[in-house]
Amino acid sequence: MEEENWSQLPEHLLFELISKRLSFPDLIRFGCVCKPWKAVCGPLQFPNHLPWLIVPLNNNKSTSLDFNNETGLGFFSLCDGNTYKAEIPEISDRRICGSFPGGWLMTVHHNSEIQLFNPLSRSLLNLPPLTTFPSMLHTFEQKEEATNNVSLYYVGKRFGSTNNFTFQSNIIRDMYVRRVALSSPLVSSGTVVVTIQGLNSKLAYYKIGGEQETWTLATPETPDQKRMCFFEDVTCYKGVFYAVHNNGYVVVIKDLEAGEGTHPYAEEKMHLRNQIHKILSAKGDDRNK
Amino acid sequence: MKDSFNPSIEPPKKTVTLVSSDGYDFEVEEEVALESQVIKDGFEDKAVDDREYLLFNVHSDTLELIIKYCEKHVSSRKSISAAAASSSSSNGEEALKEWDEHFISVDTNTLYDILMAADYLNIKSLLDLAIQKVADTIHGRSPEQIRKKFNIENDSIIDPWASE
Repeated sequence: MEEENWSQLPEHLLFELISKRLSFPDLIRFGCVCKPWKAVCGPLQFPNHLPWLIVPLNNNKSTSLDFNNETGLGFFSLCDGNTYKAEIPEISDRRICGSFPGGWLMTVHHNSEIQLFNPLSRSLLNLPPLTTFPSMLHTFEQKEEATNNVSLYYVGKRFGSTNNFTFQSNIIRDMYVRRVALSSPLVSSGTVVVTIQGLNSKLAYYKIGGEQETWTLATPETPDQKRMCFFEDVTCYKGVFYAVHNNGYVVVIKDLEAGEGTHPYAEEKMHLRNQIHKILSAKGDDRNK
Repeated sequence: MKDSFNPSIEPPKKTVTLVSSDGYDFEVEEEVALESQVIKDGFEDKAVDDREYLLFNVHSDTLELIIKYCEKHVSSRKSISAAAASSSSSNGEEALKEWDEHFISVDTNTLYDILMAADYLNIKSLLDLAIQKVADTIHGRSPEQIRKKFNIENDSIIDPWASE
């Protein structure tokens, strides 16, 4: 008789099994059973599954939403209503500032590191650090008298003022990058990351694999007229970025993936009459928020 | 006589012979064997006296179960359509579903054999039934529990997902 070996089940039967019959939590666990089973369930093959929501998981030590080691990370499944605990050392101590289809997370560490990390494939990509944002000047360390700990501080240009700002690293980690959009969920060379960043919430972008190893402003700075203008939200649809201003304008940014050298942005504006400050694209696959 | 479908007045059934991998002959009615798409394909081209199938991948233990399944489905289909023709009420489909459920409630080794045989013989409804059973078995279980259930060796894949 043939030796029963479930891990060597023919691929077409495994596909038949996972394509319609397993919920997303079941699918994740299925992929952890053995390597051949893992191989058939790449994260991007299942666009129709309900997403998992990232939630903090407190173990009674803390009730605040901080990002310390003691606070675990949980995933709330919309299919079965359960919260799943995830042991992902790669993102401990990091703030998740964006999440994207296919499982990519963008994280910020108070030591300035910014990464794209995919917990499903465990791929990791370093992006230019916090210190390379346009307004950043330098950092310094200082010993706190009360705790005797050494704290890191960031110093940067204050927009429209001659004074600089100085903030402790955890505040910069939690506040500096406000929104993120990716030109494609298939992260690779040429993919563009656009962020709403800084005290004045301006758009900056970085092209993966490009010549610039820093974050570049995507729209010109005009301090006098637009001092009270800041971006509220940004999303990407078919390679074009749409960012919405607090004054109700939508800025459309094209050709970031192609452009290099000259100031690579194109701008068109359309006015949203009712001051809608969030962008939601109509098709689930392209949703970045 | 009320029932014109009385099998006793039908002509004698044509049969085919299925030979299991361990060499046992199973003589089954033609329509039962035709539940397998593989046997059905090209069945008409085969000479009537040469209707013998060597099933190299199916052990006699499994073949017995497969034949039991096909016989049940052929007879159930007949009684369901007979009930529909005489517009009498029937819970035939319900009963068949229950029978299926009972049939597939087997240990994972037997389930594996049924699954592979259903795939090899291309019996769509049985394949669906077996795969659904696998999915139901996986449902709600942790990777470690799944490994234990299906006797799969842990090939040291990292498992970051622990249910709370």
